[in-house]
Amino acid sequence: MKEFDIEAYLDGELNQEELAHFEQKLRRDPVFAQQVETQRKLTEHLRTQLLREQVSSVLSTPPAGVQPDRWKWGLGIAFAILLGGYFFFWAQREMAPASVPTLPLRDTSSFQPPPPQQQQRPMAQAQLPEPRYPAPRLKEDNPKLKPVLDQLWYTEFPPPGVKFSTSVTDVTALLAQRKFTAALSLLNVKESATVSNDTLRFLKGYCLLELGEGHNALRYLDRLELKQPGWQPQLQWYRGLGWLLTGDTSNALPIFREIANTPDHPLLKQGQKAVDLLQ
Amino acid sequence: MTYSVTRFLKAEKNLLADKKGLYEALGRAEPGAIRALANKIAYDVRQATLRAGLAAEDAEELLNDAVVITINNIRNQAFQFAEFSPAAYANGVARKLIANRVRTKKPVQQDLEEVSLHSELNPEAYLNNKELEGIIGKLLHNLGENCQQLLRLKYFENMRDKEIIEQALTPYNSTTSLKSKRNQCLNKLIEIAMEAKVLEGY
Repeated sequence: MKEFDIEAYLDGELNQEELAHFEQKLRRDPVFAQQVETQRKLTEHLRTQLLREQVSSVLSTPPAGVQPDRWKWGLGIAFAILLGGYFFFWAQREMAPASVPTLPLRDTSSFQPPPPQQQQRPMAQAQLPEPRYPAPRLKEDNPKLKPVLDQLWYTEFPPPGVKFSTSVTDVTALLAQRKFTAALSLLNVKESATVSNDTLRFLKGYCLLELGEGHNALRYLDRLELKQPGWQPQLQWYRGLGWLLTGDTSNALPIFREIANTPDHPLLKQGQKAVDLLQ
Repeated sequence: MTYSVTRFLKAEKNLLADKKGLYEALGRAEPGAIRALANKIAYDVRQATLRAGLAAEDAEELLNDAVVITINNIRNQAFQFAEFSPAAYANGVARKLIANRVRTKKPVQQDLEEVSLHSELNPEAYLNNKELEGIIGKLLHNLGENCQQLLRLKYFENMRDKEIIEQALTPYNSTTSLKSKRNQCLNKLIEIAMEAKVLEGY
């Protein structure tokens, strides 16, 4: 019975008639009035307490994805490898005949090229292979946008360097096989059975993206942007694609520009290609 | 998906530069925004705490409280963006909390700069409620995962029932069943809070 729905009353969701009826009940029934006041106070305190728990939890734990020690170790190891490689290269060069050609650079996911200058863009794009799969069908037919999306649909799964926990192995297996509808159903079941977490949201956002659900994907991915700062580069790219799926290039372009202007961005070349295509 | 510390700091810096964005992100209680605000005011709060003759350990609690009050006031519109930047507002709140802490520890009221800021803030009421709310939080944890999630989605995430159903965030597939279950959970919480005599005086 909506007219005595305390929650709707406290949320200001009753219509005029229901509100008048509710207020009449409040005036005539002191026990009911007390009940409403108790619920109002309790929910107010509950809101503050949940917020306090969030603040306390955030400020007592380091941000997700930021692991200074591992980062420093990684940098140290990378530096040592580079140094070793440099000396090895010079030793080889000293020994090799002058006519031996140098090996061409290979484009692998683990290799990060130095940040290219603006003038080097065509060369950078030349090294970028075409996406393995086409973009999904757009919700609204857009004959100009679909070919652009097809050229930008770099959605390799799992994203390079990313490992998911074993609790989602069944979902990730389906996503790797590109069985997106089945994966989405499984994700829904998992979300119902457990408290939703950021990994499930990330996977669901990606899955919706592959199903061409731009708006829905953005809703999942947007909520993650600040919760998991370490995931930002991949989320940025997905968000750019999400906006493109909705046909909104004005929101997509600044994201791709930001990627293209971030020298150490893992999707730098893809970002540059997107900017060039959209401009 | 680990990238780097500098990337996080960059994100935090960008957020602080965009005051309106920070204000909105704080309204959603986003972790990055909470961290950015706390980092921004931490030094000032610590200095003000020490200057007021309080212990360094008090600074952390005062900082947390200042962030909570700032976000709460953004959410209930007591703090509107046009007035101050979130960091300036939170600093003002912290100063008022420090003044209150000093007052309760020493018989003579200390003069602290700009404590007249945020005259609507009543630190004593806030601290009394803080204790009560801590108990409500403990009672909530006794309700089980499902109830906690339902109440959290509504009273912390501020999500509408339609959104919760659309995003399949709970086992319920209609707003009616969702609302009904949440009401049961809330009534259970009220019941155990009554038993624990937490709600006496309402």
